[in-house]
Amino acid sequence: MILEWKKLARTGFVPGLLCAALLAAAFPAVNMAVRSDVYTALDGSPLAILLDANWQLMAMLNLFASVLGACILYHIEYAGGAMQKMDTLPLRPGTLFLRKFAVLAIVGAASILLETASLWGCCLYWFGGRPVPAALLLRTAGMFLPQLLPTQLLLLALSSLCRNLWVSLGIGVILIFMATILPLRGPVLSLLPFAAPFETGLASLSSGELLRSLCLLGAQLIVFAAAGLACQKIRRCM
Amino acid sequence: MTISKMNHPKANIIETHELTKVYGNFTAVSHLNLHIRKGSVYGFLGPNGAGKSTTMKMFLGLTRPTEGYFFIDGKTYPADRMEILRNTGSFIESPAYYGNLTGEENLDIIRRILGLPRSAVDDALEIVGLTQFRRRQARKYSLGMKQRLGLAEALLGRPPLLILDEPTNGLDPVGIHEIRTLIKSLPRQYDCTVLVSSHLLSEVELMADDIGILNHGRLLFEGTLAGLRDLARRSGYPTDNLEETFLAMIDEDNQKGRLNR
Repeated sequence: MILEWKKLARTGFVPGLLCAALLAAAFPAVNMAVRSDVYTALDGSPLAILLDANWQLMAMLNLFASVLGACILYHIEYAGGAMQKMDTLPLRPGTLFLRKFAVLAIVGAASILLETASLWGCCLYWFGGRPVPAALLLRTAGMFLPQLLPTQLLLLALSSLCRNLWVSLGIGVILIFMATILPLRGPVLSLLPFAAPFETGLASLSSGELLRSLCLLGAQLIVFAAAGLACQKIRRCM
Repeated sequence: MTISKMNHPKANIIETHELTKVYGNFTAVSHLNLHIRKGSVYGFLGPNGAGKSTTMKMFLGLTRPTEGYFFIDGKTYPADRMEILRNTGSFIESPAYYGNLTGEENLDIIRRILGLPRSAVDDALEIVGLTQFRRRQARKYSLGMKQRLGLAEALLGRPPLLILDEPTNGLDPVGIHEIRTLIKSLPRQYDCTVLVSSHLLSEVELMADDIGILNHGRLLFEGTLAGLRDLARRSGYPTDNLEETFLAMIDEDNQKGRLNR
């Protein structure tokens, strides 16, 4: 995987995605600073209040960062024809894909960690009298990553098939907007790629429902990973 | 088709048997039987679209043969694909590089995949004369420098087989001469075999030990340059220079093709 990081030098991948994560992390703090009276007056868990007020935009930024990341990861392979060179090296076609997914997943995890830290900071600063259980905070953060991973995998499979960066970027952006426009509600539809990262209620589900949701997300991961690996074989012989 | 008897049929590093590649209703390579001697420079010659690159891509597993099969150092595709790729350096069609990385970083990526020592990068840069430009980003290289980088990538680790598809494209006359001299010296210096394609016989005859002439996917001739001269004499092709022999051979094949259609 070190190789994949090395390939990203001078692409703007790390600074770009870091900026998106910082922007997403800064949003709840700015929102609270401007409208703290409104939110502190609300009843209920501070974490739920903050998520309701900020997560839609934070998730949107995470998705945009994932689209951009997936596009850059494969653009560097196609721009100078390096992909063909990779195909002539003793490297399994799927290995490259899985390594790139690991890079994207790590960046996604780091972004979510940063954003959770920001939410926690907001809870402490503005809702000091209403403590947030650390277990709930960790469970919430822990659920956001599996909610994001299937979308990242799908985006990466899409990018691996598009030689032109603008095609994969365009499709990714359209899919994000479709997920926000279409009424994807219910236990299954809300966990589909592009819709799942916006969900905030998974951490408060009962154990059985949580397990079912995790199984559904896990199944998506397996299906998209298999589809992504199959795409690599097809692409190689095209 | 004329196949002259090769000197060491048992020492062939590449052998193809009725190798065929069909795209839809277009036959890119048709029933090709190549014999490439170990330790030789084999010039693969043919006009544009003759099927040279397709054949080379099949050797590297970039495209699947429709029919037939081939051996590379006794190994077959797809069963031994990884082993074939580990021992083959290649340069197909155009230089391949990460534009955002320097020449040195590009080679280092490949070095790590091949599991070679760090010195392999310096060695490859030295061979192609890119040492002084090692820290320049590949996208800022001139076409000739990109071509050299592509060659350095192929030469990395000094593999026993090199597959080079028109490696002198885009080079200036001095660069062409240097690369030609380098290719000619490789089997002696590094104990390797080179399969090099070109559409110029004048270029190939200066570096190849054996040649194969391909037109419309069919092998018209395989053998030594002396064998080609002999064939030209017997078949009534111009013998003043081999370029004319080659052109006459291709022209006759094209006319036959038109009559058959």
